[in-house]
Amino acid sequence: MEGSRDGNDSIQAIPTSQVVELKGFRDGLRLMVNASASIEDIGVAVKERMANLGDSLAGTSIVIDTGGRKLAAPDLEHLKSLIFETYGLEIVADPDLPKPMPEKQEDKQQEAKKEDLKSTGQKAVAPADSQSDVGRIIPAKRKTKPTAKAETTTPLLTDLPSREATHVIRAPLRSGQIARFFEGTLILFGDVNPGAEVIAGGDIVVLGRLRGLAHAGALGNTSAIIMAMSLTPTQMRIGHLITRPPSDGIRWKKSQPEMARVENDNIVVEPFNGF
Amino acid sequence: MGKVIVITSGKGGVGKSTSVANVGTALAMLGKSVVVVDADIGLRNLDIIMGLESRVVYNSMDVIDGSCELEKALVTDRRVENLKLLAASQRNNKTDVQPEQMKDVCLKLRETHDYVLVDSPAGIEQGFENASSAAEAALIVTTPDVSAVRDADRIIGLLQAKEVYDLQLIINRFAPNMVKKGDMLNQYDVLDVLSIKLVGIVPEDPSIVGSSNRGLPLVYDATSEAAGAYKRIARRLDGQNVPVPEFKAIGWFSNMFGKLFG
Repeated sequence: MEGSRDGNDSIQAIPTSQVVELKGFRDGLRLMVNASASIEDIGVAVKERMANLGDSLAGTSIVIDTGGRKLAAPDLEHLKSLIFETYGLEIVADPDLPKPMPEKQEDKQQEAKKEDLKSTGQKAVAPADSQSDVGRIIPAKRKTKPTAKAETTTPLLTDLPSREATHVIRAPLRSGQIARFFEGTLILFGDVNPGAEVIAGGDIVVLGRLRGLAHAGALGNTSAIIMAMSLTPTQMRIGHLITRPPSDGIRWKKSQPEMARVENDNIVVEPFNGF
Repeated sequence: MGKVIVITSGKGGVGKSTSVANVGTALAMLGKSVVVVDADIGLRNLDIIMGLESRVVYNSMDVIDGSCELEKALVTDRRVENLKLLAASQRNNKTDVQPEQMKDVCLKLRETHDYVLVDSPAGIEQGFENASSAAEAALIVTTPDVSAVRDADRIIGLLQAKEVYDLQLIINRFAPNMVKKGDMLNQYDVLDVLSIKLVGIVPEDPSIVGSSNRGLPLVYDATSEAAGAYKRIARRLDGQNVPVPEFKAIGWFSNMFGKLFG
């Protein structure tokens, strides 16, 4: 499953394969395809890149960006059917105009809030180089000195690249509402109620109680983390891994901040003592 | 000019119609002019619970399609002054009415009544859209169990998305003994998730069943605890500051209630 990918699965990193690159884009995904490669190579690279995507991507819209060069029509058709049949992703016809999410549960207020916050950022036709996005916050943790106390050997946050898109939502999520940010880290000021969902390509930080569903590293990044002031989700996912709370159910226990991360292909939860 | 309040829940069977009938009657008993509107088109039951079924001649569908004047369709309750009912049609269904049409009716009623209480059907689809189209405030009804609270949370999210922010909660069918045993959520568990203002807790009361079947809202019965709760809710809706009494259960501590109404 790791294959040719190194431990760092961030969407910002240049993938091992030079043929395709998958990026989060607004509410969906953008598949950057090197049109000078052969369709067979493209097919193999797509399969490899998409191998570990979680179930939450089914129904997501995806834009195929060939960087200005055109794929031959039969090749494009082949690619579209490969992606749809294998991964259930819907191809948007015109790469310049990604459609809104098919997910109807997205709350209009949430959408409006998201649009407000992202208005300085993404435009419909993004240059291939996403490093030029406006409106990215450099998280404070990147600026600290190397941690002297880290005795664990897991590839933690200090291994992630130094610039990362972050989206902040200053509202609680009620049942049925979904917050989605594939480009990077999602920070939520408020509770995530049972029945609500938080999905991010990077980390998830809930400054409140996480009682719904959270999926970090949704594009296949198992070095993402989920942190909450009170971590009592109905289900948690990091990358392709899924975990659920202990079978004796969630009790409204006295809470402390906790963090979930991946260690040896398992999701582990530990008290949050800082990075 | 009055106020349009939608009574809704998401979950079915938690006591919306019962609450509309009892709170409406209690408000009328306080001297307010009240009209209760059944928005559960196709599955009407507010008229049954109010005991006015046999007197319904026209319903909201007739008003909307122009067969009859709004005033003519209102059924006057003879047991208390200033209480009227606009019944729903039983032969149509929710897709036969558009939200704008329902909104027109409610806004017209608002001009001549202090309170327009709209009894929403269960669900989040067209029925709810119709019922909440004119709402400036909402009463959310829930029972203290996980499913109902989950649905109430959803409904609250939808109402807030419609910019209805005057939201108050009724916890219905509250059984202090079950809460004590840990079989039922307590009001803190419920408010922890829903985070809106609590306007009242109605205890489980076996006399509700008889009152529904006979069409005699419980507030006419002075001995029922649930009736007392509904009367207090009406007074609180009307702006009065009413303390919560102690429910008779073994080892129940009323100071827990006290903290909620701070």
